[in-house]
Amino acid sequence: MHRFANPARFQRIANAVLPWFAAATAILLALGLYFALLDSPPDYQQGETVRIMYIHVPAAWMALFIYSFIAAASAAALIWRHPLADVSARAASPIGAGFTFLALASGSLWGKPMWGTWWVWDARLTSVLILFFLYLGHMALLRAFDDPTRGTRSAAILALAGFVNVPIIKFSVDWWNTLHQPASIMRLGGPSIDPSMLLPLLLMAVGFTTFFVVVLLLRMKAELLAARLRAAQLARLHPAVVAR
Amino acid sequence: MWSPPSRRGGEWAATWGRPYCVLLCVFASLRFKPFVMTDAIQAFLAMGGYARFVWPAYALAAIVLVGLLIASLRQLRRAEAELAALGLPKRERA
Repeated sequence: MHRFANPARFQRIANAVLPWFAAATAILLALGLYFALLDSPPDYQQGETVRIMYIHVPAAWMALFIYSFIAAASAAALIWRHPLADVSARAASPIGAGFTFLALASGSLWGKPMWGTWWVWDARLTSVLILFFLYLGHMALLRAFDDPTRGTRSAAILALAGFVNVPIIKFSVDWWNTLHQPASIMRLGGPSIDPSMLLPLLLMAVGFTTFFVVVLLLRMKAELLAARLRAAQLARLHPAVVAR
Repeated sequence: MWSPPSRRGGEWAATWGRPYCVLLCVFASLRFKPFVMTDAIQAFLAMGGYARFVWPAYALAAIVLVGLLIASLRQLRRAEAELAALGLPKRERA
């Protein structure tokens, strides 16, 4: 990974792969929406509300995946001081918060017609809400100090401590009684969902993942430029300190 | 010279009858053909009576994804503009 620590090399690679990921995102999301809305059957119990699943489930997967990514990047930053690890964690946080909000809101919109309520304080929903607050806390800590290094370090520790919530979210439907249905894709014995519904679900999930890569690379490029800007401004204000 | 309305109507029909019929047919085809299609479209939009739950979920997804993309692009453009204002290149030397 240290091969990619050089910001100039990272920018070159990011510029090369960005158009491909952007094109893949457009194609995957267009195909995913076509199958989700036009070419997949309604559920025999839930009717047309099952189409909310093609937004809700990939968004929830992304919420967990991006938090795991931030935790891994934070560990790399704290242990190996990888220069891009901090930048990637900082760039990923708002994207993860966006997907978590989407999972919560779309779940609420699905819950009302199927469960008869917008919200219940059960284990799965509450633990995902805590994940959303962890994202907000991570973003707030990054900007809470005048010295960006201190903010980055504090946010990395929060991300690692909060990682305990990820397995709790995953297994909450097995450990506690809940209105939320248990896992139907990532489970022992294979997916229990019909292939006609599995295809749009996977297309949307891969589309969301490539979208994450695109936005992550854009934000990382912006963060690296902002760091250069700070260094240049510091050099102009205090040339002797920077030279020392 | 003045002529009774029936006579004028006859002249009008002789002059404009054919184009009027053509226009009427075009209008009818435009007006009523979508009616046939809107049944299917209306059924699709109604989402089996769950439209007020399904479409807001998709609208929220669009708002979140497009919002994230636009905010990130603006952040990048702003950083590039500030670097350019200081006379620094966008890329560092490797």
